[in-house]
Amino acid sequence: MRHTQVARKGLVILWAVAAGGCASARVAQFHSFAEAGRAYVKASQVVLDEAGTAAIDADSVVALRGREALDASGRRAHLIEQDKLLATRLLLLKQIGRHGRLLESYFDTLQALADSDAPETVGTAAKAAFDSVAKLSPSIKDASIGDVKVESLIPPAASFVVGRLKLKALENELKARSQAVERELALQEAALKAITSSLETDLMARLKSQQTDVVRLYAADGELGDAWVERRRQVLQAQVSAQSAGKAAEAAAELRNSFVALVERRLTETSIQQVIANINSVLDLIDQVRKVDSEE
Amino acid sequence: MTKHAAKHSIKLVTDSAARLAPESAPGATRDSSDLYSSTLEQLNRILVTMLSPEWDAALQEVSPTERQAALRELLRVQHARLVLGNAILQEIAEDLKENEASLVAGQEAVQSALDRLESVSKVLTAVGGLIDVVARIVTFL
Repeated sequence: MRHTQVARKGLVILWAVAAGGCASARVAQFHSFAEAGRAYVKASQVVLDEAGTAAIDADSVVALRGREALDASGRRAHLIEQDKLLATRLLLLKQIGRHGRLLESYFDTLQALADSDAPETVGTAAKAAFDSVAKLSPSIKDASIGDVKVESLIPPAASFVVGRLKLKALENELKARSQAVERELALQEAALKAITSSLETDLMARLKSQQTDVVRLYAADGELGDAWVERRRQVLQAQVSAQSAGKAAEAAAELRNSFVALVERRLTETSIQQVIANINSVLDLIDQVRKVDSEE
Repeated sequence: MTKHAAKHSIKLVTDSAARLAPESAPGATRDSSDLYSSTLEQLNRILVTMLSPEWDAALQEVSPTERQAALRELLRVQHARLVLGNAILQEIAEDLKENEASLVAGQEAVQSALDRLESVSKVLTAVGGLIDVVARIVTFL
């Protein structure tokens, strides 16, 4: 979580600089957006990691509970098959993470283009960065996660016009690719939405199982102390937090809206702070769930 | 926990999940994407319910054979979730539509069994029925 707090601090400084003049304000907006993009990508990597962990852990919880119903050969066959299925899921999560990191590289090149002394090669780098992003999209669009197909969650294209800029290289880049970049951000939003729906179920499955263990301990004879009280509280509180996993998709949606605002020259500090706030909510949730696991 | 308490609590879990289910008019046909999502949503609900303290309490009151059957069904539900979740919709769209009536009936039977929780065996029959339909659509272990 610390890295997003650092990002938030950096953004405040950049916006303060922006008040100094129109051109510097323009540059600062691109810096701020790139900063928000980096914070989003870092947070989404955490969400993707957690989605993978939660999927494996939920499967392990089920495997352990159901183990006694299978003989040795049934256990082997079951676990080998589940491992294969989980590997497919993890590969997809990795692709989504890579898509996000490539978008981050693209935003970095936009930030570089916003500097008036940017060399011409930056324009070429922006195109190359975007081409890499676009190559990954079809496999993510076609994939299903949780209970939905990613493509079905892609929001409709935003309609916008690129504002005029003094920096022609930047204006040309935005005219050439901003519509397509908006679609790639929409794909991130859809993928995150699908992931968080699956993440919620996997987290809830694990937390329900942990709650069952708490109840079993209470039902059994024997003394229970403060550790049991603490555990019960953590499990119940984490269940409430697990239902806010959707904030990751909200952060992605806010980043897409901010990109459109940036291109139209109406990006505000509030938009950027909203991205960061949603990112922090997700990281808080993951911290809370990890706390339950670490004290198991 | 008494049977009554278990029944009440499981109803709360499923009622809250039911609010998330896509609405459809009785008799209306759904597209394959809807069928896919609603089936997986139902599997998700079953999984969470079958790991809950309420279900665990209900299992304390059944025979060891029925308990073993419940655990096997839990494994099948999780397997179905992953197989269906990894499936490419275009590849199974036709099979989903072919099995639409059975899928919808299976989902409704599960919902009704979980809402009422009259007996573990009724829940297992309903869940087993739905998983059998899913197994006609995607390849199972």
